[in-house]
Amino acid sequence: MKDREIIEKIEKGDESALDFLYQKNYKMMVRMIVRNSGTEEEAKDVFQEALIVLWQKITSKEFTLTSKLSTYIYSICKNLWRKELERKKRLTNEEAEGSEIQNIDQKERIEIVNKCISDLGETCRKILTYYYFDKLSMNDIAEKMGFANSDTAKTKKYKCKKELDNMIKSIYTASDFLD
Amino acid sequence: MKEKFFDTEIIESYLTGKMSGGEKSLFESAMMQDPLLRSEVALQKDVVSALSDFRKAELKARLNKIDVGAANNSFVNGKIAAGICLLALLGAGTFYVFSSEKEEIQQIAVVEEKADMQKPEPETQGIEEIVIEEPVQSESKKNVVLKQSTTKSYSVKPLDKKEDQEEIEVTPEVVLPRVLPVSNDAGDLSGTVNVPKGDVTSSTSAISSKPAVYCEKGNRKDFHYKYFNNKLYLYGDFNEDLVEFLELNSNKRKNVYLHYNKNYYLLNQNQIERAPLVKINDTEVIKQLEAL
Repeated sequence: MKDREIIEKIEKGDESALDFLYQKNYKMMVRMIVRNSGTEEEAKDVFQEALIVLWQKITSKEFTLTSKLSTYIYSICKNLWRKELERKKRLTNEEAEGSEIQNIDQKERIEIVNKCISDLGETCRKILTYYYFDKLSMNDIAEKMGFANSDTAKTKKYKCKKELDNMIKSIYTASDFLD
Repeated sequence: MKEKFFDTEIIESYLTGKMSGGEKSLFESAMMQDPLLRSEVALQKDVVSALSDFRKAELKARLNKIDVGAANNSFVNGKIAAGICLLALLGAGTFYVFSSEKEEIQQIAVVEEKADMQKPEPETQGIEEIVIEEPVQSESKKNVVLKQSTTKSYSVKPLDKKEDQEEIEVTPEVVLPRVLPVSNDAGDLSGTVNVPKGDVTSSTSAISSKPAVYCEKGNRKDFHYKYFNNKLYLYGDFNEDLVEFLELNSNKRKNVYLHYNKNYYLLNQNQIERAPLVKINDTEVIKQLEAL
């Protein structure tokens, strides 16, 4: 597959292109990270993360190809790995104290939201993740989900979001009362 | 509790950065004055990030399922040892098959088709355990010393399932390279396959034969391959073109490559499950292959 074809596929949200990139670049990226004092497990993780960054850039159409795709992926991997090394260094310096002292309210809220997302029907979940994360256009969502047109996708998205909001609020306000 | 209704569309356009500068500052000042709006925006922010996290995890899980082929081998040492044992047995089986009637090959091919995804049963057939001189992609296997310095190239015509069976090239090149016995080390790891422990140690001979190739078209698993009973199975639209095999010796190991449609793919001969063909991108290797 040529770079152009891969990008066109990803723009439409076709995950098979991501699989292809994963296989094609796996060895090179893992080798680079392992050479730079990473473990294979870490390398794999960073490479996956990098591909997801790329995926999101392309699906949200924020992407213009200026170099070879593999070069681009390589540079994302390198940046992510550098950040990770810095983070690890900081962690050892600060005895892993962590900025995890998130307020309890928010933690609880996130838990509720996560639960509601997993309780949501698969179709809704797909539509919402494609919309909010992949930032696919309504047209692309319609095509991917097999809807008649972008209007159907739009209506469905609206309904699904409402359903999710209602689910969250039914739990969230209830827990509010307990305070 | 009185629930104030907010236009989620407006919050959304704020969160997704779709507001113009003026709209944005207006919205922000409204947030300053309204704690309920503020908490609603915070909640919506969490919803978007939770949806994103969900999708990320989904994509990661998808990638995790992908077999990265040969690269895997250096990670799973146990599997390599298992692979060696299995190859030894498969080699023995093939040797047996090749030395018997053609009809039998046909039968086996049919059985294989049906068995498809099932794991191959090692064929012992009363033949002594052997270690095959096959490319084992592992740096850690110092026990097996592969010594073969020639590079050879041959091609095999893809078979049609029905009548072309007779055309299987039954001229295995039997090469007897020097093979050192595998020590207990590998024997211990063999626990993962159905091979009696210690069998590998009694190596007396080695076989190297070119694989029979078997093409299966129209499968969804395009461009996948596997080895079964020392036969190479190719899945995908291979167009009956000549599939070519190239062997390349590079530091201490011998790699087998498949040449098809101007691309080179590395074949891992320990691959018994269907796996995607991994295209070679290393220009250095490609150069060497093209020189063959």
